[in-house]
Amino acid sequence: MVPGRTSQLAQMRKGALEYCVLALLRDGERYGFELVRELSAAELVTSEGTIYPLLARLRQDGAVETSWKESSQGPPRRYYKLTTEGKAALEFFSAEWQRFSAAVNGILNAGGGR
Amino acid sequence: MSGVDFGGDMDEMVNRYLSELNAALGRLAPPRRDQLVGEIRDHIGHMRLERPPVDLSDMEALLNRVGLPEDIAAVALEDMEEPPALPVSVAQFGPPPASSPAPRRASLPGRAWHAMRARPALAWMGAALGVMALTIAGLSVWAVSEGPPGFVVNSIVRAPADVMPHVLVVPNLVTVPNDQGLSAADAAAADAKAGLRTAFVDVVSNAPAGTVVSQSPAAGSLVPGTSTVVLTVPQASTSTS
Repeated sequence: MVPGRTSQLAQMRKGALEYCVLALLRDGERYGFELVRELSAAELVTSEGTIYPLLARLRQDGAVETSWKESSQGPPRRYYKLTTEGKAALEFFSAEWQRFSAAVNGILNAGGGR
Repeated sequence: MSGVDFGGDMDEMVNRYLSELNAALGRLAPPRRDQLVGEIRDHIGHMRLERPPVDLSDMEALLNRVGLPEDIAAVALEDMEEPPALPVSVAQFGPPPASSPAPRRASLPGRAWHAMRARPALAWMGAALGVMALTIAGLSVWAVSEGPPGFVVNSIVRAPADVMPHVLVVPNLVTVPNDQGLSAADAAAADAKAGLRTAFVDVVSNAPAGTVVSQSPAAGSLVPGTSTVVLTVPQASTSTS
């Protein structure tokens, strides 16, 4: 494979992953472990631990906010919630992504028909 | 009680893993480092609670799922770099609010995000003016939505070393009104007032005919202006039920 190609793909995945996290929070707050589990089940992450720095960044950017809640089992959990800014970023990305993926699919599926 | 109790050895494995992580995060500011290590510790605890590892190799597999300390550190450290300097001309559009750090002139590489939250002057510019201002400032505009009235409500500068700096201008967003319980006409009027379009789905139901029973997106959602709200409205039932 051409060097650099895989890293480009990794960048793309990483960029999309941030919005997948925001999308998982669309219907309400969730705690970190839950988020990681969903992303991991969807095969979006292989190293589960790498989600936490990403969550920290989203928090720093103001896309999510967190609160601690007691849990019936185990220690208190940090819950993540979308902020208005996070919602806006997500809405924007979803619309752009639909357009972008449709356009790319159109080209990819057309093949070399010329 | 079959087999050996590996609990103590497992705890030691976890501790060793966490101290490796801690070392790999050496360049991160201590509060952030402690927080991240704490989160990973909780995550491991959670995994062990969910499915207790049966032996040491099972525990090792669990830690492998969490990821190599250096991989986690790599993600954490790439955010550590300073946000890229904002060109002065952008900063001049409005003084940064007290809550956001003042733009710094440091020009470090990295893929840091810098969200220009509540940058008032830019935020309320018309989109066209905002784009022009950013272009003059030397920032290429990556995407602009066209939802009327077209004001910039948010912008995010992302300037990784390997990509051209660009700005994301988020479209005008409006709040979806609560249409449930309204008549179809009143609901459409409420949507129009919010700047939204309305589409109806007719269903046969025992609910009162002509009254909105459900809506998508839900009331209170933030959506780009000119989005369509889909309302489900029962028609008079023809069957006797």
